[in-house]
Amino acid sequence: MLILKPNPASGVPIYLQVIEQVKHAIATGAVRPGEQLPGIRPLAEELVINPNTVAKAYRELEHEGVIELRQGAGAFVSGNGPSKQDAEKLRAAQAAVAATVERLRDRGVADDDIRRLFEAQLAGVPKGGGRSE
Amino acid sequence: MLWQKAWLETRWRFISALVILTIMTGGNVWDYLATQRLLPRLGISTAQPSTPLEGYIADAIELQKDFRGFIFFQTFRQNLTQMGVLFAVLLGCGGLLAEAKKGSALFTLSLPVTRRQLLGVRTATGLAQCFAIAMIPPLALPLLAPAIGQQFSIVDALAHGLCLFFVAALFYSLAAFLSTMFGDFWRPMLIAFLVACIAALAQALAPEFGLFRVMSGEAYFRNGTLPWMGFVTTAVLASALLYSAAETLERRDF
Amino acid sequence: MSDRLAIATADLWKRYDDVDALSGLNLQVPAGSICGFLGRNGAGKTTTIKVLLGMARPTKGSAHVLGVAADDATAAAAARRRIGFVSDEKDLYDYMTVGEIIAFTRPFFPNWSTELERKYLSKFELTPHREIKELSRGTRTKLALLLVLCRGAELLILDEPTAGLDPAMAEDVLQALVGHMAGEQMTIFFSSHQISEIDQIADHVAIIDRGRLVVAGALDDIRDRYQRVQLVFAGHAPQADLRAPGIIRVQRLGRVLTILTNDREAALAEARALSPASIDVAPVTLKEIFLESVRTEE
Repeated sequence: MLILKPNPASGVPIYLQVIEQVKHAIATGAVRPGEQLPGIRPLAEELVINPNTVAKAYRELEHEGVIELRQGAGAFVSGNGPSKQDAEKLRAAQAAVAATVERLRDRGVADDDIRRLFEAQLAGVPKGGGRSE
Repeated sequence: MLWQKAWLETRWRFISALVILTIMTGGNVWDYLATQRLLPRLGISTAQPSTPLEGYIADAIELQKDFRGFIFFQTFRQNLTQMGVLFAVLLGCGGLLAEAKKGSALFTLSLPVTRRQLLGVRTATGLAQCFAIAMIPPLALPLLAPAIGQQFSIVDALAHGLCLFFVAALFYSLAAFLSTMFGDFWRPMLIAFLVACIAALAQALAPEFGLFRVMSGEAYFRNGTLPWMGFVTTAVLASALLYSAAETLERRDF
Repeated sequence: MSDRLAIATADLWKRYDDVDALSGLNLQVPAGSICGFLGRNGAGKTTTIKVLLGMARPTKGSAHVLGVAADDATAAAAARRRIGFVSDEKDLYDYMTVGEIIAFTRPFFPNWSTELERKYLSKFELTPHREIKELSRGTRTKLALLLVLCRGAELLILDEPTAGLDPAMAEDVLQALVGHMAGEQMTIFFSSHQISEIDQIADHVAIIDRGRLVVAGALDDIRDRYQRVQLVFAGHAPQADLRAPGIIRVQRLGRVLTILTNDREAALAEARALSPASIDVAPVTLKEIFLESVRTEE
């Protein structure tokens, strides 16, 4: 199971990066429903990040129904539906993002500007309130 | 454990002291022969000394006329007393503050032991070492005396050893106390030697306060009585110094 | 993370001659966290650590470690059975060998793990017969770490554990530290000049400046709170006096007004009132938070 080392300086909280990586791994089929994910400590040690951060990411993933945490046994990818739905959601989102990026590039917006705009948007530009929790 | 550390930090000083003092004492046994050949040729009359210096010389010559007296004069009054003080002070220097200069004090202090325990183990080791360097070298005398046709009683050797020990322990405690006040090796040593000089001076001016008379076991030599008052006094002073060392160490910032 | 505090100081002062090394330090490190300790040289990091470990006495105030008062000699000595410390100089007994100092340290700690000892001896590439005085600084650091990691400590207090190490060794050290964390009871408190390390493994941070804390708390909270708000105006940026709470710094350059704040909502509310053409919010790095916090008082 390949989870890349998170980038602490990227501005994206590490736990979110881990969540993203796990979802990506599920979406691409690197890990399938029912399969076990690395334990919190071993994963933390491999990525050289705080185990509490891994725990937080796993809790959030469980909350979203992406994985199941079984007492004493570990973390497992959720058996059914959600992962397929998530995968489709991600694919649709990927297509939407790709389309938007292409459109902006056609208009002459530089890649760096595009990135900055997305990040600002995600950080919560206050047109209707802050970031959703 | 802490004993091992205390040993490793003082073993060369201890071993050198033991070896040097023992060899020196053994050597004194042969010196007696040379002295016996030399003294008559000096032709000094020991009757009617007219000045204190003459009195001193007369006393010295009288003492050295027999083996026991010679040993008292040479070995106990001079060599072992002087060198004993030197080595006791040497053993007492060092400790936690000296470690601080070298840097490992923080590691030691982070161990689950109190400063009192650290000092306690170091002191117990040091006093045991003082005991050894006080008791063992004199035992060379009964061992080697027969080689030159003389006798030296083991009881005498042990009694003198005890006298050496009490005063050595006092100087050890002084050096240990000074080592909780100064981090370097030199100042505790120099100050302790200064104190020794002052004690020698005091002894010359007021012979009743003869610290080194206790150390050389003069009372025992002259009339077979151990200097109990001297033992008690040195023990009390040594305890006070060690207590002060513990208190000073407790308050120290590292 | 539990509610218990592995480290707690209350209004801690430490005076050396006539310099206040610590001036009212209120440090709280929750049990189960990895807390990074940041500060400029001379800000009081090493003094804080020395007071916590009973190496120096507080002038005023209190310091508690694992619930025990740091200046209670007997209780603190017992507590140190559960604590591991590595000094910034990493000085050990240079008359001993690697094997000898391990054999020396082991008996003090009933929970010593010989399994971990073997693991770290090989992982850190330490050979038992080598004399400590011959070791390089990096190797000495690894030895010092082995001595604290094998003892089953609940609290590790490390003064610049990766100083002087190359990036690979530093990563090894960080990995050993996160590997050490096994549950709610284990806490790591480490000072570092490498802010990236704190970003990487810490979940709490404490920034000390001139003997007191200027920023402290959970890293996620702090990252949430500190934001850079950039306003672009159609004309020149107004000279308005911004009074929202939490505003640390305001910069005007032509049409752009940049606000550094640790209370985003308050700053945004005030920003909107100025009717800018655009508002951008961007996160602030820990490095910037640090630099701003220790500069502000000048």
